[in-house]
Amino acid sequence: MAVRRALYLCRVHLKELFRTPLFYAYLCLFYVYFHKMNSTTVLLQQETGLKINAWGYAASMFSTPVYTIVFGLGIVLIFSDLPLFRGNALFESTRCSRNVWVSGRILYIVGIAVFYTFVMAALCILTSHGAINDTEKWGKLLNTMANGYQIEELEGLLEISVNITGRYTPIQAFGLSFLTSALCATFLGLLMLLLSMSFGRTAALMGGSILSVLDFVIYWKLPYEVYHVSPLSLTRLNIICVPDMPYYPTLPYALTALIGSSILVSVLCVVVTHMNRSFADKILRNQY
Amino acid sequence: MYAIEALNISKSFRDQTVLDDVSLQVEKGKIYGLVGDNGSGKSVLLKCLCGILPCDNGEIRIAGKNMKPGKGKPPVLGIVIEHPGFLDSMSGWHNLKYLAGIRGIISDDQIKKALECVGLIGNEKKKVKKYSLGMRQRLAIAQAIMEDPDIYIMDEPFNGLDKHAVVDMRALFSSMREKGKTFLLVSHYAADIENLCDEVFEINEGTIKKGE
Repeated sequence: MAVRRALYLCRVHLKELFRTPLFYAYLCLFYVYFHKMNSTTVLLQQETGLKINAWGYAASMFSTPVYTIVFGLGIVLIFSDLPLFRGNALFESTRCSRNVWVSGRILYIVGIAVFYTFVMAALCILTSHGAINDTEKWGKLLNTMANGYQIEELEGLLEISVNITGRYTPIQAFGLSFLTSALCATFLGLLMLLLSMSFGRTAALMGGSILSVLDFVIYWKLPYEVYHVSPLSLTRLNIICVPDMPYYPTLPYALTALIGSSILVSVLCVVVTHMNRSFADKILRNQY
Repeated sequence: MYAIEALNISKSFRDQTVLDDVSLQVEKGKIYGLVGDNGSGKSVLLKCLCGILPCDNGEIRIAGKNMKPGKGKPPVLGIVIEHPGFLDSMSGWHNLKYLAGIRGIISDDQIKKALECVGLIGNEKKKVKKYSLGMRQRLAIAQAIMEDPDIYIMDEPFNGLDKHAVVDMRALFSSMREKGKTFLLVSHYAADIENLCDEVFEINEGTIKKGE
C-alpha cells in the first residue's frame, strides 16, 4: 500500500512537471544551447564531408567541462521547486505517512533525472542532425581527436582520448556517459531535497549550484584530486577512463560513489522527514 | 471511548505559552464547538489534535488510538484548515480526484457525491483559480467528507460562505451527525456554530472551559 501511494505521488508530480510552462522554457533553452554548440559540427561536416558517430559525439560532448556546467545547472533549475510544495501540500500530507511522502519525492527525482539525461542526449544528437551517423566505428574525426591531434573547430566542443576509443565502442561509451550522468542528476536532486528540507530552498539552490560549477573550478584552479568529490566530474569519461592516473577517479570509483552517495542521501531524506516533528506545520506555513 | 480526547496538553512557542494544561473530551456522534478570540490558542489546539503540530506535554487519543505528538496523522480524520490550499491550475474535480487517489479507497461516484453535498456540482470542471473564497471553502469541506471518515476537525468551516451556504453546511453537518459522525468545529465567532453544536468549549489565553 505504501509503495502504491509513493508511486502515485511520484506519477502525479511527473504529470505536474509536464503541465508547467517553465519546463518547456527549459527545453527551449537547452535546444538553443545545443543548436549553437552543434552549428560548428554541422559546418565542419559540410566543409569536409566527414560525418561523426552519433553515440561517440554525444559521449565526447558529455565529457567537456562546459557541457558539464550546463548539465549541472539544468538539474538545479529543474529541481529548484523541491520539495514540491504546492498549494494542496497539507491535504496531501494528511493522507499519507511522512515516509510515503518523502518516498514519492525520491522516486520523482530518480524519474526526472533519467528523463532529463535522456532529453539532453536526444537534443545533442537531434540538433546535429546531418553531421552525424549511426555506425559501429568511431570515425575519422573522433579518432583523429582521440590520438591527440587538434581539430580547431571542435576544440572545447568535444573531449575524447584513446583511453575511451581503445576500450569502448561508441555506443558503450555513450551508455557509460548516460549512466553516470543519470546517477549524478539523481544524486544532485536528492541532495537538493535533503538541503531543502533541512535548511530551506535557498540552501538547496546554493548547494546544487556550487556542485555544478565545482568541476569547472577544478579544471582551472584546484588540484585534480578534488575530482573525487565533484559529482559532475564523475560523469566525464575523459577523467574516469584514464588508467594509471592516481589523482583521477576511476570508473568503478565513480559508479560506487554516485550510487552509494545517492542511497545515503535518500536514507538521510527519510530520516530528516521522520525526525521533523513539526513537519506538517512547516508545510502549512510553507517554511521550506 | 471518546472520539477525541486531549489530556493535559501544553504548547509553548519560545517564552509564550499558548496552551496551558488543556484537556478536552469529544463524544462520538456529536457536534462540538470551540470558540475563542483571535490568538486564544484554538487553532494551535486544533493543529495539535490533527497531528499537524506536536504538543510539548500531554496525550491525544483519536478514536481510542494514542497519538504520539508529531507521529503522523490518524487516517480517520476529515480536516479543514484555515485558508485551504488547492492546485489553482486544476479543476475542483481534479483536485479532489488527485487527493482521493493517494489513499485510493473511494470511487469517482463518491467524489461526485461529496461535491453534490457541498453544492459544487456544475462548477466542478472550473479551475480552482476561478473559484470564489466561498467555493474554495466548499471544496475544502468536500475534500474532508469525500472519504467518509468518522471524525471531523474543522477550523473556521464557514469562512467566506454566504448566508445560504452557511445554512446548507449546517444542514449537512446535522445530517451527518445523525449518521454517527463526530465534529469539532472551531470558530472565533460563537454565533457561527453555537446553534449547531451539542456542546461548546471556550478557549481563552491557553485555558479551556465549557461554554455556558
